[in-house]
Amino acid sequence: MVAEPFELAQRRVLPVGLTVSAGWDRDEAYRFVEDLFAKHQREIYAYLLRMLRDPELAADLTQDAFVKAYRAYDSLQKPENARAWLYQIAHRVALDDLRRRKIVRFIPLVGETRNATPSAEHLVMDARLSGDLQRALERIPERQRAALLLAELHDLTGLELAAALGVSHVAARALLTRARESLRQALAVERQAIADQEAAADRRRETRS
Amino acid sequence: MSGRSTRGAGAADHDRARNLAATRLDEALAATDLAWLEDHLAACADCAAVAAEYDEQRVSLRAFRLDLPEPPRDLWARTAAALDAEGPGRSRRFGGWLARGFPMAPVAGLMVVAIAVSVGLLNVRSLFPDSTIKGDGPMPTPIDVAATKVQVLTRSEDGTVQVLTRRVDQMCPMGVDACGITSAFDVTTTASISGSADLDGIISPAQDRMVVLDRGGVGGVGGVYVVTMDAPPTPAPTATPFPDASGTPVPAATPDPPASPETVSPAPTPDDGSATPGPATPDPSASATPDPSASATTPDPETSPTPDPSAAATPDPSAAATPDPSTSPEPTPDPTAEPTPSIAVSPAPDGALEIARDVIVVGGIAAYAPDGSHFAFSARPADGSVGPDVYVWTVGDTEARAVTSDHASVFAGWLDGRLLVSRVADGKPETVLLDLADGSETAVGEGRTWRPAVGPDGRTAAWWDGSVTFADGGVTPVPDKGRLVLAAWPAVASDPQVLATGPLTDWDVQWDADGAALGVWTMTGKPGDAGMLSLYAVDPDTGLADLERPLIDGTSAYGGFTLRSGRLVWSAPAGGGDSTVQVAVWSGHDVNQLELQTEPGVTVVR
Repeated sequence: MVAEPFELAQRRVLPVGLTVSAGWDRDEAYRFVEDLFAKHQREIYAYLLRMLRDPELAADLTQDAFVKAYRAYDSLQKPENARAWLYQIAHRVALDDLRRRKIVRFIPLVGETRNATPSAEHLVMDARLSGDLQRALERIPERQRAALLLAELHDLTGLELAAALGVSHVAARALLTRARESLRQALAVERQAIADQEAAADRRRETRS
Repeated sequence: MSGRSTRGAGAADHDRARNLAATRLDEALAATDLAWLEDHLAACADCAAVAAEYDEQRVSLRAFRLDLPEPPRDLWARTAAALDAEGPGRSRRFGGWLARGFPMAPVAGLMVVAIAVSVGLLNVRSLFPDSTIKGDGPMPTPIDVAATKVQVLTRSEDGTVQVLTRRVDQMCPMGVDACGITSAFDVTTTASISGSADLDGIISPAQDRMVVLDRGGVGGVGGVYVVTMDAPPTPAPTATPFPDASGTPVPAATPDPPASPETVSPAPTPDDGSATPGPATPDPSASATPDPSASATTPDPETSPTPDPSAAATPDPSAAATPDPSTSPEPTPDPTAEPTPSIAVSPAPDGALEIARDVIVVGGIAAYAPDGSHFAFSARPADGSVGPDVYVWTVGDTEARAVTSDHASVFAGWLDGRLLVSRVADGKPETVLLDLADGSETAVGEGRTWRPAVGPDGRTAAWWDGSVTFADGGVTPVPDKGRLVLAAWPAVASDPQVLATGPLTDWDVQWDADGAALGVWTMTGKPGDAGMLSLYAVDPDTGLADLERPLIDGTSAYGGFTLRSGRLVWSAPAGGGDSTVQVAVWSGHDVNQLELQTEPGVTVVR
């Protein structure tokens, strides 16, 4: 059975932060956002940090998300949906920023540090043990990554996830399914790359010796 | 699908099983679906393995649920200030939960749990390293490196071609996944160019213009454009005049075979606002005189139509109509069916100058002359009638012109102001130096020398040492049996270093400007596939590569890398059909690499 679309009036929310109605009460909106911030600022910040991997940027965008929530206050029809509504705003903010700004990450070429100390090697190994999942997550398309993060780490239910992603429930489920498969393939690529690098390093060591 | 799969199960069954295996993590399956899935997984080892990976994936991800990073302490103050800036009437600045007291107790409990979890999951704490650094002390400090500029080319959704530029001047220390560096690409919209998203971009030495090669995607039919770039004005290079009609044939402006309505545009149309006089119009004056109104929208005089009509294409039907059959590797085509690509001469309204139209760009080698006065590339006509010729665009001209007419030549590079051209003659590969000034050719190297890339000091070069066959319906020369070698130049393949052995579909070899490093990309798949990229240090005494200790040893890469000033930049495949841009910086044999995430499908500007 196909679920009904989430009750958030998405077309009113999106694009976020536009015209507010004449009856919009600024004090009420302010108090609402203030309360929303107290309850959810940490998880919203965590979501944006996980999407963007930059603490300062995540903080800026968290602020941005709450300001947009303030502007779009009257688009929220049911307060009980506020969390998913806020995630929807944060998700849009993240995607907008990802389009404008590109995130840098640094990957040491395993085995290329000739004079690495044991502690540095240990550091590399320590990072690699979990780094494959980290890198695989970053390699999948942003919307798929968002769907996985929201579902698995931020515990959004099916309808909440659909609302946060701004798509239908069916589309959200399909996106999540694709995300799981993309992550599986990306993980395989990451692990193969590590195996290849280790094999190449072994060959070079053998050549030198 | 593996042979270990369920007997009789088709691909659709396996797809369904994997779909259901993923879906069951998010919602309860119908009883019939669940029963079917369990039956299938019991009989299909591959699908069961995939399902197990999905389960493992979930466990791994959920381990981070409580790993919530702490936002900055002043986040509410900043947010409240931003809210106040939204409009008048707010009187409770910086009030709210800070003033009332933030409900810390639940959060404190959460933090304790988070700490306990992180102790128990030592190996997963770096999934989001930025979120955990705070508790571990100061973030690693970035290392300053000599600045370099990374540029990639992409097509936006509205069709405009954009250059994304990022200055790279810091790296993280080795072994550190992040050190707080963020990046923003500067986006420069260059021009609106219709066509595919399969683009290559080559920046002029003065960085004031870029040649965009539209490779046409799946169909392969594209064009070549020149767009102006925002850059400090530099003196225009002095262009070497082309040979006149007595020299190299100029088949560019000969009448086309029947072409698309867009191409057959003998007069300006209200739609495009520009004259499109060249390809379909045998009138030489029309070919050389684009609509002044169109040129007025192109402020750069160097890319505007030249005021000297003689410098532009002068149709030479006789030259075009009499191909030398002795140099053609294919059965002689009908001379009445002009085989050369049609050449557009229309500056587009938005400033892009289309210097070749309805062509298939051949090979990955296309380059500005070191002085920026000319640009060379290889192309063949879209109708597939004949193979490639070498084309040269001279700065100031409105079109590229063929400088070979044997339909079996490709551009290999610039050397001492002349063109290195590789061609197939009598079934054998050979390379000549073509002088643009007089059209003369000088043979270089021994036989079997194909597409040499000569080092900056001229002592050594890399080239294909082997036979050449024909692809694309028998018209495009490609390497066949042989090897990619590095040896003394002029090409003497005695005791060479072997960089790769055939068969290869394509390759690209580039030298750093100081000759200290050599980038080698080889590919065995079909056009557009990823190949393998290696980077070698070059011995300054011998000019040969240190093959025993590659700086980068065969990393996956798409074609079109760039090696410049101690920086190697390439595009690499990523999961989910995405690509990333990779930058490698090295000192001695220590290499650091950074990854720039970009939109899918970008290509590195060379």
